[in-house]
Amino acid sequence: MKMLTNLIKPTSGEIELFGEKLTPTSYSMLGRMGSIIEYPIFYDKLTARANLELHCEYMGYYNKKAIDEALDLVQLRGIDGKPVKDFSLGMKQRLGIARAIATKPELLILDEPINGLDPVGIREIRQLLRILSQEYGISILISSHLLAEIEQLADTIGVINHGRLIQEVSLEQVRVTNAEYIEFHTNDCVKAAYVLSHHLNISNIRVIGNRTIRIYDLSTPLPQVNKVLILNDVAVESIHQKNSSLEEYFLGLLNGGGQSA
Amino acid sequence: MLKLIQLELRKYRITGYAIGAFIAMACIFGLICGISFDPSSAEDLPDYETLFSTIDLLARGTFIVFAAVLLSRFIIEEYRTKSITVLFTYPINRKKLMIAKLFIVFSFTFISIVLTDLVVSILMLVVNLNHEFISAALTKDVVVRQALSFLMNAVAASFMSLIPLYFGMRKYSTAATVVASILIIFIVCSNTNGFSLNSIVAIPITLSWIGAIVAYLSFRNIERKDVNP
Amino acid sequence: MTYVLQTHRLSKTFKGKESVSEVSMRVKKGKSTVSLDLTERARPRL
Repeated sequence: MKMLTNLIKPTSGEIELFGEKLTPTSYSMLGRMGSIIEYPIFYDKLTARANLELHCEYMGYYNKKAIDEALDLVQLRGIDGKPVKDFSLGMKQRLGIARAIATKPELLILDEPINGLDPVGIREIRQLLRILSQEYGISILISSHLLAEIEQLADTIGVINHGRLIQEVSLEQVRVTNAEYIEFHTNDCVKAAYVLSHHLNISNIRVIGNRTIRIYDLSTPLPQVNKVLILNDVAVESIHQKNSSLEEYFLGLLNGGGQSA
Repeated sequence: MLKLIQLELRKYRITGYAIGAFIAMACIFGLICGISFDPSSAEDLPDYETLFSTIDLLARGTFIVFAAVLLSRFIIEEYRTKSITVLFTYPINRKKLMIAKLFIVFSFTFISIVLTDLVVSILMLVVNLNHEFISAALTKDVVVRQALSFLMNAVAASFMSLIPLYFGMRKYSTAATVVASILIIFIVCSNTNGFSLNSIVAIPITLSWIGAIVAYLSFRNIERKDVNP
Repeated sequence: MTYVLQTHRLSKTFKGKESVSEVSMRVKKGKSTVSLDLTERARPRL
């Protein structure tokens, strides 16, 4: 993460930002990014507002209302007059996010942004980031190790292990690969398939072997599927709903079971 | 650059330091007066030259240490608290950022020394008019020579005052910076029996060069260096 | 789809250890990209 903002120089390899190479003197690019690296750090003796004002000045951003907007978005409006040293960790985290977004950067780089936040705060930030991405068109790069966060926020996921990128995949693809399904065993797969398609309009199924059918279309709940099958004389020997979790998917990657994206 | 300097001053309330400087000036004045009025030590200040150089010595000593304190706050503390990492993510040339800080320390030191020299000297001359510690006449020659000497010493001292930065940056320690500055004043501000090392011109010149080099080093590779966690 | 950020075989060696090895990643414009680090941390943060 730090290499992206020129805080650390790469040993080798290149970084391209906004279509141009990043060099030690690429200063203008930095103005188009907002970031939080590890813990957000402030001038503790100054107030929250003063810190944000300084930030905007340094970034060359002159919109007066931007600071208020940013504070609103992270729910810190009332206390911007307090010196930062009196802030709790969660508040500092939120202020850090406010600072990163105040100048409406094109790219937001966040290192574990929900670090130290309580569940309410986490949800707010999640919503905020989604709005920023969808409504304001801001591109966001988040580094995380929390799967729940990923599930809620990501469009694309880069999986890294021991410094290597093992896979770059979209959340869609992970879901598809990992799809939840209803699986049941029967001795008459053909009939079962027929019943599913004619009575329940389910055609997104996979037949495995000659005793197992998996239904990927989950619009019909399991009890209903079971009932319809039985009423139509399909002998259901066992039936269950399998939910593959993201956790399984990613941990599976660790074991080298890397499927190509 | 001006903007950067302004921002730096906003970050650290400079008025506090300015007030401190004035208090120091008053103390120096008080000290000199004390020496002058006390008959047992009055002979330490027999003529104008000694008077002025003592004032200069005290001024330089005080503000070199002052400079160390400023260096700690403006530079070392930023590194220690890592707020420098935030500063470096801004679309501003890092060299300029650093230079702005160094400039503030340098000018503050220089101005303080010169002001103190002038103000205290003038005040003492006024006092002397009434109390006649020094009976010799004040010639234009002496004044001009002294003014030049004040200026050159002030410049030298201001550069020298940057040397402690090197020591402070090793461990990001304020204490190290201040201790270094005290060592420096032992070298150039000690006056034993009318002789001070500062009068061997080579010494202050060398030290100021060292100061300038230290300053240069502080921003030479700043764009390429990693800022570590 | 334009990319706002791309890295090409980015590596970083810290004190003899390679902490980033040949990472090539892309962040799409207007989208969220999450970098998920599965590595166990040597020292836990926070």
